[in-house]
Amino acid sequence: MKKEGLVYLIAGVVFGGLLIFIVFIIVSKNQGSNIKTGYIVQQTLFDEFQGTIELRKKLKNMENEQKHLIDSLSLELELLSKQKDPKSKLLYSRKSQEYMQYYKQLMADNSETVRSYEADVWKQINQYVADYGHDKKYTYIFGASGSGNIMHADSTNNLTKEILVYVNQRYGGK
Amino acid sequence: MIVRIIHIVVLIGLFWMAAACKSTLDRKDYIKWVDDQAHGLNQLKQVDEFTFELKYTPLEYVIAQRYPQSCQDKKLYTQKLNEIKGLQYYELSIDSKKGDLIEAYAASQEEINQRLYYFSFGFQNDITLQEGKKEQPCVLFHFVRSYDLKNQRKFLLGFQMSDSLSMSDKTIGIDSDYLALGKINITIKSDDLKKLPELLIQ
Repeated sequence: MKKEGLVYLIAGVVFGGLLIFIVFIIVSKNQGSNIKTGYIVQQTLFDEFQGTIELRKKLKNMENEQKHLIDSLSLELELLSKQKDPKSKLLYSRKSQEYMQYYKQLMADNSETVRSYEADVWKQINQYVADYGHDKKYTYIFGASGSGNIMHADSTNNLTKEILVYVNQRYGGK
Repeated sequence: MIVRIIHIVVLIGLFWMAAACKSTLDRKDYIKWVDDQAHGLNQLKQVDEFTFELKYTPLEYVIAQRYPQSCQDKKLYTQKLNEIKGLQYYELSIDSKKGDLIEAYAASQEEINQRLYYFSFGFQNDITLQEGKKEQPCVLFHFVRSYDLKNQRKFLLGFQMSDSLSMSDKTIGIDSDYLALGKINITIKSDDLKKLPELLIQ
């Protein structure tokens, strides 16, 4: 009787284990089939994002303002260079050094500003893409940047156009 | 057959009339209605660590909030309405997961003072209202200083009211280097403005 009970117990455990294993396999397979993925071409998304277009206009205006200032400084230098007296020559040498320094600093500041503004724009894009993925129940949305992170993807999974419409609507406040 | 058609036409007519009629709410319900995000006049937008809450506050809402007694006195209500009309009002709240908008982003007392000064005055210049193709600056600005432990900071905004554009989409644009997010746009839709109920004045 005791032996029989033990056999039943072992059989029960083995059967139960087998059942759990089968359920686990089925669930994992189903989960695998539910994975929804897509990709975006990052550069296209960034370039055609309304925030980037507006940012570029803003930077262009800033550049034009600086150009006016640089032009007036170089005109001042040019006038000084035509003066023959030693005092003006000395002033020219000092001013041209100052001008070069100012120009270099301005260029460095501009690159830093562009970098910082672009990072700001990416913060918005990242948020909207994440919201899109959440709304449409995507498991993953990959970003193809052309640097080798995605070497091949079926173009049917390219979400760039669809997401561009979404992020521009979100940017517009909708 | 004809009777059926008449029934359908009458039903459609009744439905249309019911939809067209504006409901009238008392002070408390009116405030609740505007505050309710489901009605679209109170919008939330999250970008990165910041959460923006923009509430369009109609003139009736402003009066109901600031002068509750005027909702029981038509004369007083009209007087208050005349005092504040000409502008459209909004409440903007900014919350950050990182902490307080002023202190959590500053490395020194000097920076705290700088940020405090900016959000008290300069921030006004970085806020605009777009109605149709018309963009206008913020003409009334007040930074509500709170001394609680919340991270949320509130700003009261006022823009010129344009009668011809009063029912068009209203987009508030916030373009501040201090938030480092680029331009943030939040829209109050014209469809939601049209659903605004009337305030009951007793």
